[in-house]
Amino acid sequence: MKATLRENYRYIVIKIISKNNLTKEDLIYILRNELPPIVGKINYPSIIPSIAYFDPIHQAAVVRVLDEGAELFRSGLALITSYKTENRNEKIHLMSLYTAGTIRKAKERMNKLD
Amino acid sequence: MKYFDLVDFDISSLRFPPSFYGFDRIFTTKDISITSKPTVKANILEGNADMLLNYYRKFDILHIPSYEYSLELFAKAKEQDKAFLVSISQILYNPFITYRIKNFIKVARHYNLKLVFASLARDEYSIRSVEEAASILSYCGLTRDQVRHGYSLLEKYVKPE
Repeated sequence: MKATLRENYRYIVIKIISKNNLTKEDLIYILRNELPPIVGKINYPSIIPSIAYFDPIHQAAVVRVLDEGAELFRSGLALITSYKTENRNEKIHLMSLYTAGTIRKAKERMNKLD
Repeated sequence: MKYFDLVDFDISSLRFPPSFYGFDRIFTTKDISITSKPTVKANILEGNADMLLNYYRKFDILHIPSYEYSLELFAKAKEQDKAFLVSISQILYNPFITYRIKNFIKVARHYNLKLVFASLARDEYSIRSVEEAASILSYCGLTRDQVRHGYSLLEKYVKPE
């Protein structure tokens, strides 16, 4: 594919603050169900978040987003306060810590977290 | 630059230190008191514009939870060098207030008033770091530097007990 047609991505390191530990599936659920109402269904395709790496022990993750939607993603993430499923209703805080251009840099930064 | 936050719960239960959120210190409403009764001695007075107009002189910072502005209050507050508080947690729990906050900030900046930002969080999940608040407030017409400056003003305007 031509370089001009290739999508540019950003890798955002996020820290999960919640009472109970979340799984990768929980985070996918949040990104697919809690984020679209906040950023808007029209804007969501300019983000297309996907989890590039998940650390269940430190409760941190690297989320790949489109470059054009990175700022919108960070704003939307900051506005998420809880997540609800049929069985759970928990308060959470998904804190974006760092934005990198490569997954390697993002992982390096994530490994520095306590 | 040092950043400060004000929260409305006991921070002894916080799992992360203030530095994790990028703050130099997190004050509670015990350190910096907020009141809606003008006869009570406190640092921050909150209420509607009419009430603040009568009692603004006695307090360091003013807060209008509904973010309805009064040009008369803004002009008098500017004379007395009073600052206005903008609460981030209100945006989290009621996103529809963002429009009012946007207008409030626009007019306050026109009057060259100081805006103090604080999360006023009721639990640790509502605390937002300076950069997160800057991301949210960018939709209210503020730059990152303006938000950072707003987070550095809390200690300047009030002397914690």
